[in-house]
Amino acid sequence: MHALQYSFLIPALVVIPILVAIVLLIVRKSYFSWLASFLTSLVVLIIASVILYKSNFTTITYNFGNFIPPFGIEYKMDTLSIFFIFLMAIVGFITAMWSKGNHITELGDRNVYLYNCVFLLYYAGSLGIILTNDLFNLFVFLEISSLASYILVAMGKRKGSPLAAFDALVIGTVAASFYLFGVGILYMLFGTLNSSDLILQITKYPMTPLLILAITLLSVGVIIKIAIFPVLWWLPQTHQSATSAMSAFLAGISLTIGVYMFIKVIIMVVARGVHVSLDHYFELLILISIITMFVGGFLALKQDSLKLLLAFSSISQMGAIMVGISLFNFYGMSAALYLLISHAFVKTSLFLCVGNLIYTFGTEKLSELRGFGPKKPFTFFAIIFFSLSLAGLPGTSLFWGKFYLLISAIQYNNWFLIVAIILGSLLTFSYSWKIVSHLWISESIVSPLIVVHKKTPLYMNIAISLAILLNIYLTFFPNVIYYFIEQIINLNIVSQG
Amino acid sequence: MQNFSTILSNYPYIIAALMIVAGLYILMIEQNLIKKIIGMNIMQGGIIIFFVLIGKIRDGLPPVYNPNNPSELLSNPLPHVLMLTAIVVGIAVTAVACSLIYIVYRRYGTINERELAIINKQDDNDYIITEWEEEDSNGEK
Repeated sequence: MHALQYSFLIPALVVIPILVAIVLLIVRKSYFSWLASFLTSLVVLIIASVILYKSNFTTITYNFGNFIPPFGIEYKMDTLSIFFIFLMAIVGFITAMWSKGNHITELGDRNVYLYNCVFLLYYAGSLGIILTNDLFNLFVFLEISSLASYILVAMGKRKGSPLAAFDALVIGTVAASFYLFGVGILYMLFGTLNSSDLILQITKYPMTPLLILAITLLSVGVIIKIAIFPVLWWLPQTHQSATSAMSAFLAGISLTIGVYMFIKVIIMVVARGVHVSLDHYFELLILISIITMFVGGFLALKQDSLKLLLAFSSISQMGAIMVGISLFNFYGMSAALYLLISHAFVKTSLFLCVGNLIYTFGTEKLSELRGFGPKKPFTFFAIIFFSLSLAGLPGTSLFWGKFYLLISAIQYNNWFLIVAIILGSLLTFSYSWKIVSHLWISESIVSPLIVVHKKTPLYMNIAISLAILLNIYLTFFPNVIYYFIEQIINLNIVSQG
Repeated sequence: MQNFSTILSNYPYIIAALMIVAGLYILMIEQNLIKKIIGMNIMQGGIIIFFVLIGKIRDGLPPVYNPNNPSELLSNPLPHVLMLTAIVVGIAVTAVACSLIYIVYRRYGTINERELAIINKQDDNDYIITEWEEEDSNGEK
């Protein structure tokens, strides 16, 4: 853990998107802004690769203003951060590449530069959440990224878009306030905000009621951001209301960042530090995660709008991921991380396909899209491929995650959990099959679809092809990701299994 | 009895807690979107007061270094500084929320949550293709 020559690259990851966003605000050209956001995600990907290559799975840090860590703000890049930055960079790259055609139909030429500017701010905020090691700094970045996401949602073309953004804003701000309150109590107890320092401090002190309050507040704040059961209603609206490019990016990133915060704050700091066993806490978490899995799944089955269906499916998948994390053992954690990355790719790609449909037909309702297959063979093939991936059929990337999750449940030796996971997977399969059956097997409807744009632009299809290749890669070479995950768990999270 | 006096002597914390709870209550109960925002601000104010209280040390002086008497008991300035950032964040959130409410009012003609829900149920909430330009000229109610 020492500052190296290239450690200035770490804050550059956050600073570059912000600077580019400011430039976009001055230049105000649509094409330039698209190119800039596309290239920025590429640059982030390259920088992350350079850092990974140079650091070779060791942790590197950067201290702002050369203040020594517990006092100043410290940026830390460990394997967990690199994992999430790669995920973000790839999702951002594909989405940004795809988004150009979407801007024409769903944004209007005047707003493209604004969209890209706010998009880059969202990108920077999310990267900041991943990189910072300071709990208060994390709050600031959380608010930057959430504010940007509300604006992007409000830019959508539905009548209800601003309303959905407002609902998300109210709930998101409550979540952030709870988080801030929890951080305040931690600071009051231990006098530090640096999470590496906090672990040391927590291990020194006994459990007090105030610490329990702090854990509760932090958990509530973070769990609202992941959309776990009691507070999940804000999420589907935002996914539906945003433009397709934004829903794709939100689907891949927003919940994933929430899970990252959970791992970083709750698992790595609190659960690693406290002396009392948190068994009951994790049991409660498993229970509400399972409820989330079923609520999300059943609601997804009911939806007619494809975007809503996918959003509820995200909620259901987050339930499964949180089950894995709450098991708090090696297999559970690795299953959760594997599910997280493959789900982020698959869900982003599915939203991109839905965006293609909106581009062509101007609708995303399943009942109106019945039997569209022959008209759009490529999109049709992609949707079926990703739906089957989402269902977790053997031979697709999500299958491995589900498989590891089942193994960890068997190790946990709880029959209720095993049955719940199997039923949850069946539920996933049934709503994925609903997509496939409506688009493929169903008869063509009475009133013919109106074709708005006959041809989708090439770069949209290239982006989706890239996503397909990525998924195929993840399917056949899960070892690469699995090696990564092993490194993460061994370095960052105490392995118990 | 001693517990009671401890609680009483820490009354500022109780004020902070009451503000947070009151803000949350207003946020949940009120139908008017503007009042929701006010509740949100009260809640944030409670948290800001809580942070400021953490920094206060009993009998502590303002944190200005005095070269004549270096061993003076000083309050902790860090939470106050953090709260400057939190206040700025809170203002940004309020600004975005108010502009969202403005757009909602222009599109729906109301900012009452119940009425908005009724309108939303009646419309089939499909894609509206109103350009922003069109909305600028026709959207006024």
